[in-house]
Amino acid sequence: MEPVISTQNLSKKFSVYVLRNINLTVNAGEIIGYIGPNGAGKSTTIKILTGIISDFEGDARLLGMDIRKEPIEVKRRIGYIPENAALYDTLTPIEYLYFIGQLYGMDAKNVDTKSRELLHVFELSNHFNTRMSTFSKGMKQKVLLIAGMIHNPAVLFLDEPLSGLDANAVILVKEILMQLKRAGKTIFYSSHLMDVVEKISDRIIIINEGEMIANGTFEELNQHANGSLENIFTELTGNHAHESAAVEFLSILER
Amino acid sequence: MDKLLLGFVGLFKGVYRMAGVNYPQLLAIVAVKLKTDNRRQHISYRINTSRENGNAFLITLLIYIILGALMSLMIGAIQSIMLSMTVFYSFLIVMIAMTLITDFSAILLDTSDNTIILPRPVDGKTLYAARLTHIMLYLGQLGIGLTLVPAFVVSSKYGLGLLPPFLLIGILAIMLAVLITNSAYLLILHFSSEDKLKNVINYIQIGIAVICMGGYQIIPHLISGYDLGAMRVEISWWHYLMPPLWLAGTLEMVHLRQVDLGHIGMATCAVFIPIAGLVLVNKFLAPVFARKLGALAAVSTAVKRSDRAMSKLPYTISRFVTRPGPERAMFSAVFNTLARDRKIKLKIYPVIGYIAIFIFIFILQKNNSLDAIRENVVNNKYHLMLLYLPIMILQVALHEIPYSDEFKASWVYFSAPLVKPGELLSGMIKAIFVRLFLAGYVVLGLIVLIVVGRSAMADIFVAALNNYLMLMILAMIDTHKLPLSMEPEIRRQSGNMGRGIITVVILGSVTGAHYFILTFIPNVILALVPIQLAVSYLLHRTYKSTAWSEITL
Repeated sequence: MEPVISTQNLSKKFSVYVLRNINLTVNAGEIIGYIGPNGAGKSTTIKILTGIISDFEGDARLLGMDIRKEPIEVKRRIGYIPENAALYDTLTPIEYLYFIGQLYGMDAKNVDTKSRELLHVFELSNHFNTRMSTFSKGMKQKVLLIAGMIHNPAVLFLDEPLSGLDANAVILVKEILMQLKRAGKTIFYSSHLMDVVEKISDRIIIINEGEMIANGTFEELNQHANGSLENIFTELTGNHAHESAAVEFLSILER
Repeated sequence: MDKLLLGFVGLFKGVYRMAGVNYPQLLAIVAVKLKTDNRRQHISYRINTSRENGNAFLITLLIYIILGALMSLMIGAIQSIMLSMTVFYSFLIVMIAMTLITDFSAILLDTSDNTIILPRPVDGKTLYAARLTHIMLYLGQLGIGLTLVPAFVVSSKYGLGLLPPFLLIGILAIMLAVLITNSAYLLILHFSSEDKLKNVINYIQIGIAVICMGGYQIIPHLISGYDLGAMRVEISWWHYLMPPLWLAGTLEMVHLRQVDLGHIGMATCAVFIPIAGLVLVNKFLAPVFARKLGALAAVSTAVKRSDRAMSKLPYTISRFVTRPGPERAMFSAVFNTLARDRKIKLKIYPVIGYIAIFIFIFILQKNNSLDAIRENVVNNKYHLMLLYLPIMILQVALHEIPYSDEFKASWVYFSAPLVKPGELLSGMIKAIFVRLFLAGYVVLGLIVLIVVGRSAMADIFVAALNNYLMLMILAMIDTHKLPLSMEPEIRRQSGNMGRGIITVVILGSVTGAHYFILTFIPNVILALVPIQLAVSYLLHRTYKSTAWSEITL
């Protein structure tokens, strides 16, 4: 069976290369944890795979389609939840979700009903007609999550999806992701929250300075460094000096 | 109103489909853009209703109708249809291009669409067409405002039959303005970065503001030298380089029924270039547009190298003019903001241009030789006007500095252990004075010294201190707002007139007093300096001790 996501020598250069020769294979129903330090190239990878960035080197295919040649068809089948809470916050959540639904060609009545029900699940029923400019970061994040999934995509790209959410919402989102996986959806999950990635991912990919440095299940990666994913991450990204950095930080503060 | 506009867009459904645009998506995007436009002016923490408010737009429309009415006076005065219509269509193109640049730069280059619309199945053509439609709807309404009164004048002067071609050519003028501006943006965006483009736009905005102000002042002076009744324009080759002349030539052809080669050429350019241009831009540049915007978003998240080392200038100056602590911190922050913030620069820098034009018109224009200029300035003591005009720049800066897009960052004022926020205000006022006054004033002072001679030295000193005193008085009588702490949307434009009157009254009194002393008791002029220094010190000390209870939040 053809993989849902596949890349060959995927590279991207701005002034310097931010991604180098990334070779990915993701199968249907997998949850991939995509982690790396700040500026490692995680968001750039996601922007290429979601068709936002189209001038890249190498090949990228999604659901059997060439992302470069069929970007619109690819976008129709995927959902994307961006890192920053980008939405038109002068709109109400109902108005915003209606707009998003229209871009996917969804039936107006269906969008409206779905929006209200999904907002209710996220405990936003009292805010159907409130402009989002007054929303907290977590409330906006909930609307973004719904906007990324309202068209029931086959593949979901999540870039720090739990940002700003309260504890209950975090548990709910994790449960939703597990249910989506059971329903055969593929999830590409990028985050800095190691414990969440460790718990929900079938496979973890670590990227550092634009290069893939690890790809395997948690158990496989655990052979490199014993303990938590945090330890493995620290070991593989070559950043061991946390304790001495903390000591130095404190000594500077006390000057 | 939105429904009416969307209904109007619906008339062109077939055209959009023929151009390969996804019409339902276009309609959805335009509807949302219109909705966010209506609400953008009225966001605040307190307003939380879904009530739309179109007042801001209606006021703009009214101003445009008045501007159109003023322009129609010129149409009435100039006999030659070619000349009057050249002036009118130039005005229309400049006004529309200026609106496009000032109001729509942010919308055209809105990178928030990257994360909202680009990940959805919307192609570049549809997105670009939606943006263009949104812009055309807005400009179309303003175009109607500008054309309303001139349309009556044209009908009564040249007959009702000329009204339809006049209006149709007006639409072509708007299309030309959109074509010129959009092509320039897309080309710059193609070869450059968004940041550079925003800088270029900033300078264009400043330039246009100055040119318009200068144009309104200078053109009547130039035209007054001609006999408008006898004026007649012959078509030459260089007319083909000037778009307003194509439009005016076309109308002249219709009015005079003068179908010669020159006029046919003009009409062809007028009709063909805007339409073909927009089609070509949509076909070749629009697909690049979405791709480029996508890349822009990615670049903005990639780690950037610092372009240059942090400027040490404000920190060095601050050591001489401020005390360590909040005052010094605010001095550096405001100093840098005045140099870097595009929106503040856009408000302040045109005033510098206006001053230059003001000087040109009132001091220099009637005098050809340097000696004549010198005599005119010395006799009329015009150099005082030159020395006091900088307060106009300072008062604009004083009004603008509290507003910032990053107003939320002002939480630091409240979390810091600040006993008296007056220290921040003191740093702010010093930064405004040093950044916007001192360097320019040295140049002005030198010019005055060269023109008037050494006798003006005392005036230069006294006027410098008076500028500072006026700035202090303006700061103290206004509500006290902390720098960079207020949301730009809540800026009250209604206070402009009152503030302007107060400034003019203070400026007039101080300049008048200086003029009086210089004319009748010139020997005592330097005796003013200690008094000025003492008053400045007292005012500054009072301002610096402003308490939290006196701050407007």
